Amino acid sequence: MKNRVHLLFMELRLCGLRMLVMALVASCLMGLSMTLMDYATSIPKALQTYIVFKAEFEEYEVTCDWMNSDELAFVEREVQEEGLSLEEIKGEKNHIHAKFKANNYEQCIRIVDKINTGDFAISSEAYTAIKRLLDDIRFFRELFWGLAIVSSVAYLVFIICGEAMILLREKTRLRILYYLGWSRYRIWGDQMIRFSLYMIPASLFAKLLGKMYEEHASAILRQLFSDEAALFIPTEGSWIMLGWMLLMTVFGVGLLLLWYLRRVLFSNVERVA
Amino acid sequence: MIQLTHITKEYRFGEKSQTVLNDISITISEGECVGCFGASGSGKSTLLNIIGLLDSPSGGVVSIAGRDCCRLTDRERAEIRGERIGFVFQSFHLEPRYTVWQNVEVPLLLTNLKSTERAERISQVLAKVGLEVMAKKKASLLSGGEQQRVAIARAIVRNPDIILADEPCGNLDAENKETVMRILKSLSNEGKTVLIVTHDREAVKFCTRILLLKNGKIIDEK
Repeated sequence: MKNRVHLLFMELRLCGLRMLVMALVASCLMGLSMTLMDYATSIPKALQTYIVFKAEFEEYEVTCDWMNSDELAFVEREVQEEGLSLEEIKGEKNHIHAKFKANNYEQCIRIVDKINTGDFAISSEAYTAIKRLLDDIRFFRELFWGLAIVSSVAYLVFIICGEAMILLREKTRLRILYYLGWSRYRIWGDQMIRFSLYMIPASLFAKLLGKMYEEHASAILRQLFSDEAALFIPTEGSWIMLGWMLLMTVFGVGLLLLWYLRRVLFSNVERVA
Repeated sequence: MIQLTHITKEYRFGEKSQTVLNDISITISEGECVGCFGASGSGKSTLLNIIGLLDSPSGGVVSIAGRDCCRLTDRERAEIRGERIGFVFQSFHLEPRYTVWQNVEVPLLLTNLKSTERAERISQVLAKVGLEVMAKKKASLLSGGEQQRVAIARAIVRNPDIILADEPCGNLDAENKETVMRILKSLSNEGKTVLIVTHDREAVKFCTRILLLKNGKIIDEK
């Protein structure tokens, strides 16, 4: 075992620089994609929270304009179903105007959604603000998802190409190990361990970078919305990547263990046979 | 030591197939130095790969020290390669960034030998190939002849019974060819079985037996 660790260190020394560059670039891309995914998933929730937070300080007053008598009856019915009543009914024929006041944000949205069939001209400051924010949420969620997907694809392409390049450059060395008595299991197990060895520090570094990205993103959100909006952005995603990397290590170590186990188990079977 | 019985090797390309080795049967005894000659494409390297358990035959039996090697698992074949067979190649296959010492040490790192025992063995084989003074030099800084001698040292450091050499003098000048062939011959004199695959006629004088291959068949044996 000691000799194999010695060999592993000899190998690490051989491709150390390439691995360092790989680890640096990979961690930048990984950190970026994970932070973007964080935002893409947490922004809608955060802004919904923000909307409720903001709406609580407003009056849920909705004005229905340019109604005829049938429409007025319909609105009145819907409003009464919610236990409310229309106020300030004025005008005649197709020029009837009325107002109602909801008790909370959910009720306001519920009634407006029911009566807002397109024929009514409804004006509500809270409703308009909420609708605008929902559009913004949709836009930013799509933007962040788009960027997260682009950076994830870039990360995967980089990792696959980088690993392929390392393997191609190390082809002769791997072939020598095969000639010298390594089985294919051992060679691939060794590669997995090596990959994990540099990807773990890389993912830790990605977490650090993720923190930096968070700071920038919070500043942008503060500018776009308000200080409260930025407060609602949670970030936990880069830990997922760290977990994934730990899984890779376990997989690499697992392959080696399997190799040893297989050797022990099968040699016993052979002896018994 | 090595017994090949009705060995065939075919490569399939879709529906077409090409026979590279056609019903080869040979027995190579311990301590023999066998030269396998033939033109390019005659199948001599494929034969060497099959004997070295790097490749499997399409038919027939490969037996090393009485053990049928065709039914072994990848791990068992790898173990036999590590313990019983040493390889020498035309392009040396050394790790250029390792020193001579490190290159020779690699096969020993796959064993459980202690560092003192490893050092002793490496010194012995480097002395055998005349490279003790170059132990700390990087492999990339050596001449072709020296690199091939390092490759031989690496091939014999685990004390294998069989040495397989694929065009060992292919990249060497006349003087180095002579040196390398003498080393291989001396290994054969020590009781190791040496199989040299080459198209260099000058290697004949170092071999105890000659096999002539053509189109995947042994057409002459002396």
